Amino acid sequence: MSSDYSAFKAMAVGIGIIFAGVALAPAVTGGRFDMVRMSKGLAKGKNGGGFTATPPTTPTTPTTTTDPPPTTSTNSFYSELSMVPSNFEVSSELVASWGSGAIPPSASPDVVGAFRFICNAGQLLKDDPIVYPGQPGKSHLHQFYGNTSANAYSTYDSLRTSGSSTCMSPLNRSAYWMPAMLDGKGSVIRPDYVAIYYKRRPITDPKCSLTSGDAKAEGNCVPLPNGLKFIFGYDMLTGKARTGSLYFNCDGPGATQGHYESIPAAIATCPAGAKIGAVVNAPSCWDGKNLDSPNHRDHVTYKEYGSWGYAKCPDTHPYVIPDFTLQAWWSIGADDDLSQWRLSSDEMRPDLPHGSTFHADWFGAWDNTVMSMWMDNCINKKLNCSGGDLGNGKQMRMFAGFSWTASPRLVPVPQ
Amino acid sequence: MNRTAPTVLIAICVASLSGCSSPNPEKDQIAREGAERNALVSAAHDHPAMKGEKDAVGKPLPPLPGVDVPAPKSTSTHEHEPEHNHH
Repeated sequence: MSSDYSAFKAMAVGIGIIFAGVALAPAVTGGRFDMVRMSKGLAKGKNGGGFTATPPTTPTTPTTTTDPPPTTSTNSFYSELSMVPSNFEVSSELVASWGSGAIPPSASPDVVGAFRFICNAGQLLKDDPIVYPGQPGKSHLHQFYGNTSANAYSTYDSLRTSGSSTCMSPLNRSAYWMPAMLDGKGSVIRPDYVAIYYKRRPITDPKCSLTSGDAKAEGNCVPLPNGLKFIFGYDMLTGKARTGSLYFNCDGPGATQGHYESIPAAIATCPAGAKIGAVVNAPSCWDGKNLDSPNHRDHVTYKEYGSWGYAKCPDTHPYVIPDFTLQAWWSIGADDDLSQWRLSSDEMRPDLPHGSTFHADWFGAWDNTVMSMWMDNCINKKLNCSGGDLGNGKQMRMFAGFSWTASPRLVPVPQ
Repeated sequence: MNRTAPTVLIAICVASLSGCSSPNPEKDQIAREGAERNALVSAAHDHPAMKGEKDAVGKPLPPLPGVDVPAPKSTSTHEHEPEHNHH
């Protein structure tokens, strides 16, 4: 009886915290939002709502910029940088969804809500603001998506205040990048489009809280923290990639869809006229303390299915952030020789099949108001949101010039 | 396939509440992924901007380094030092 009462009391406390958080939280589009996102409405450098700004606690690589060090906000739950509002009118980049303000359907029977959108390819640079901050030209050639101003000097603050976005709208100034695809004949092949998904259980799901009483809870669900960045996929240091987290695929006329480990494995059943895809899933468990780490990976990790029989985050990384999936798709032309296609990073492992070094980088820089929209609605109301639909009757605008085919498709490898 | 993959597939089957009785859960998973992607592409084709609604069209992109304009000159003479390359 006493143990039951303790569990009940813990659940009651948890529920009480949730209600208190909802009562105190500023209204945002009339929807609920994660109670841990108490930093909404905080301007940069200001404190409030029970938060204490402290110096960054994560080890950061020195940069050559002269920006002041970012202010880190800590709350009772996790650390993140202070939000940076967009330097344009957010509403100017929103339209009535589908022209009518329609609300998307439920994602059921799926257990997660989903927010999805399409991007075009962006800039090609030998820059990496995570691994080589402030050191332009240091890395292998990267294909960037999202923030068009992302380069070696990018920081959270600079991403938040500059650039357009190839991912529909500058409401999402996040930067994503991966090794460029090379044709082996001196050119980069640019993907036609990139599909991006964010998915997570709703905050009301008992599996979203370690104090809910659900014995199979995944962890404590939270939004994407401001300033988070990480690398995922093939790790050059260990020579490994998380099983199932990345693969190639083929789609279109005459194609056989599948999960292929390398480009050669995929092209065996990927004829001209079809598209070859590279798919990578990011880790979704975060340690709650570090926005980066020395190897840019250890502060995040994947959920594990162990002897316990269900997916959960390890105790070292108890915070569940939305699952992020990136899929880049390239058209295959009649004159293409796919046997020569390789990623720019493959030259570091000439002993492995082309595509084996596939990896990607994620540097978040969403407008917090808009991120709250898709978190509150698409995720926390478990909706099936697509095409930049925010789930609240609003949809992100699409930049002028979006194209379903890469233009230009081939670009000389930048020297 | 390694020995953890069947466990993963079974867990995905359970989590998605569908396909549990399928003889080929991996094939079903691949088919679901394709359907999801096609649904996104279809939805994006139906974006108001694609339907001609000018208010739904944002600003054009600036010239993209390495694509539309030359990428900034590299400050290093070679791509990377193998001993420093951990990316």
